[in-house]
Amino acid sequence: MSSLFQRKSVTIAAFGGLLLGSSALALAHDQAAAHVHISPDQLKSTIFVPNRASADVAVIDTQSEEVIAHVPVGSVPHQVAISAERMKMVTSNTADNTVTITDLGTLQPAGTIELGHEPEHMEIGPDGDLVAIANIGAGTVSLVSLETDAELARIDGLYEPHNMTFNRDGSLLYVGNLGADVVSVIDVAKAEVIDEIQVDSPQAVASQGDGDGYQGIINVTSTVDGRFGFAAFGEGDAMAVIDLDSRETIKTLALGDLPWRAYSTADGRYMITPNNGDQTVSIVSTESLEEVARLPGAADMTGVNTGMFETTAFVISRGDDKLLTIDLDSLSSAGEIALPGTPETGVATPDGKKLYVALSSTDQVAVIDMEKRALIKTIGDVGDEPWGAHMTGAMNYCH
Amino acid sequence: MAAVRSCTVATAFFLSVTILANAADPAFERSVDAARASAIIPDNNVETARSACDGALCFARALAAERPDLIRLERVAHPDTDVIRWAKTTPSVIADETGGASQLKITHFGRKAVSELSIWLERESPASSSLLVDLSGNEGGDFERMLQIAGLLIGSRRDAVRIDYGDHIERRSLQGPTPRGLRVVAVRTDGKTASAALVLARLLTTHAGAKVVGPQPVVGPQPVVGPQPVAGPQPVTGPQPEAGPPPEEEPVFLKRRITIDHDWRLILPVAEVRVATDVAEPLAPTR
Repeated sequence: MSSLFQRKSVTIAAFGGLLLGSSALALAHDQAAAHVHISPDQLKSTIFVPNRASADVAVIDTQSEEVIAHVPVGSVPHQVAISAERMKMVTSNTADNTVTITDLGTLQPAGTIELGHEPEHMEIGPDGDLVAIANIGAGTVSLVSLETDAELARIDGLYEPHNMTFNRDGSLLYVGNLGADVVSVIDVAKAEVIDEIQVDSPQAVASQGDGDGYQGIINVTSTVDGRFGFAAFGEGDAMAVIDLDSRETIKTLALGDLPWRAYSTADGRYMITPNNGDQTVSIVSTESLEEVARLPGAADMTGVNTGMFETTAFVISRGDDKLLTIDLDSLSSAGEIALPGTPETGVATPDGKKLYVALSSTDQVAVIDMEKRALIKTIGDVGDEPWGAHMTGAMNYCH
Repeated sequence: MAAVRSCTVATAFFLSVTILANAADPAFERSVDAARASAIIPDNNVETARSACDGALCFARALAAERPDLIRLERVAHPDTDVIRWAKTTPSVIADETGGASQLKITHFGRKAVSELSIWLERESPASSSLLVDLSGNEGGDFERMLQIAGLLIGSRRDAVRIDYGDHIERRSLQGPTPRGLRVVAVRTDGKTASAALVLARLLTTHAGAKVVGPQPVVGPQPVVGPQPVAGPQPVTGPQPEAGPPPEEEPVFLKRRITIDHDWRLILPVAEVRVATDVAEPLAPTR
């Protein structure tokens, strides 16, 4: 039992029958998520935060901005994927080689599925039923049905598969390979790799050693209309623009040093890519397919969120414990927001007003007012080592 | 998503079944293409290996057996779950100054190597006119980054490096400002200095007149930790341990890293790198 749950138990025992009112009820729910119900309507204002060290998922109500439940999952949860259609949450338990499926209506477990080595990143298909899960340690991708809560197929032939992206009709799955300079394409119906798309020219080195490690492709970021995918290749300092229907590479762009991945603005105008090697941020126009700005960045950038009618981008710097703000109208730097802990990833509410960022070192979630570009609150007792924040209807991502 | 529904119906039959995606095996074709592009392996041997293998790993092993001295098949050390999965940006350039002399240790050609060196050169005092570049332990790495570093240390040189791809030769020049009052008088190598670091050593001796010195002397059971002072044009006054492989002799190859499968990478030479000793014509300074 984690220290968090021990603290809650003591609290409940001390106050015994005096538990009255909503806050006390929330504590009781905290214990094991019993009696907490989430309606499909409430789901739209709920944030889910996987806690790696306490092996649970914190459920945060954005109306009250309080933790209303902790849902126990497996060991070292990395990401959650929410299916509003099935009212289910899938959590990848990286250290257990499993995923936990939770019924969102009751927050009770619906099943645990054993997968390949180190399941980490997940993507739900357009119908809300099929979940692709990348087993990064095994080099495989599992397809799981949320209708039957069962693994349908396990696909071999990937190279440290990282994030994945479905095309518009869900027939193709594009897999970013951290261990290679190619994007793998999976035919979902056949459950097999049918293509590999080379990003940039093959790398040439003159070395006897490993150097600073290898960073291939971690994601193919889809445009809002689902037509194109942007695949950044870390070692190549380049990004390919791929037609997600035809699988053709439309263009290859030179970026800064060691690009991480592209993040789309909600309006689809720009792709924003942190370059962690030279600590810059590249902004690419999805219309001209040109890099229209390269701005100063910071150390170890792990995510980008946009909001407030897409006027502002917030770049998460895990290395410097801060957010960089970018004015998307003038395409210029607009300042910084210091954070009290180490930020991991975040999620912006679909209305673009607030940004919730998991702070792993202080077990908090930071709440950012996206209009004021300011930290307005921290939510405490989230769990041990919160690793990300996810929400239905929002632009979710994971690192 | 009709096809997906069909999969769902067939769940019972698919459970616990691993579907191998080897229909086209693009990794196999990628390896064959790379091997053909290599100047190291005869075409006949590539075809023999191809016909004898039905998979990329078998083919890669056959290639590695062809030239074990040059071709490596490496097993990937996958990171564990507690590691953020991005490449590191560790410091590459360590500077020390003692007694008015400067020593620059370039441990590898990391992502920040060029900016680290640029910053150091900008701040360097004119009093430190003699520089020892220490490449001991440097096993090479990013070739383009090495060329940029060479340009910063030497200045611009036309066609300083020739890259022999077998069917054609590519000439590369160094680009950089003329060094201001700073001269590389010595370059230190040892038995681990290799690949791109060897090319840098050759460039420094050929185009900057640097002398090669060996590793730091060992006194008693402990290695000398402090920097080696360099004074004047003769940086090495006492007896020095033997330097590593003479930079003029050991061949250096540009290599391609080919992903074979999830666990294996093939490091395949595709071109030989030579420092041009006959052409040392300076280019116009870039600034």
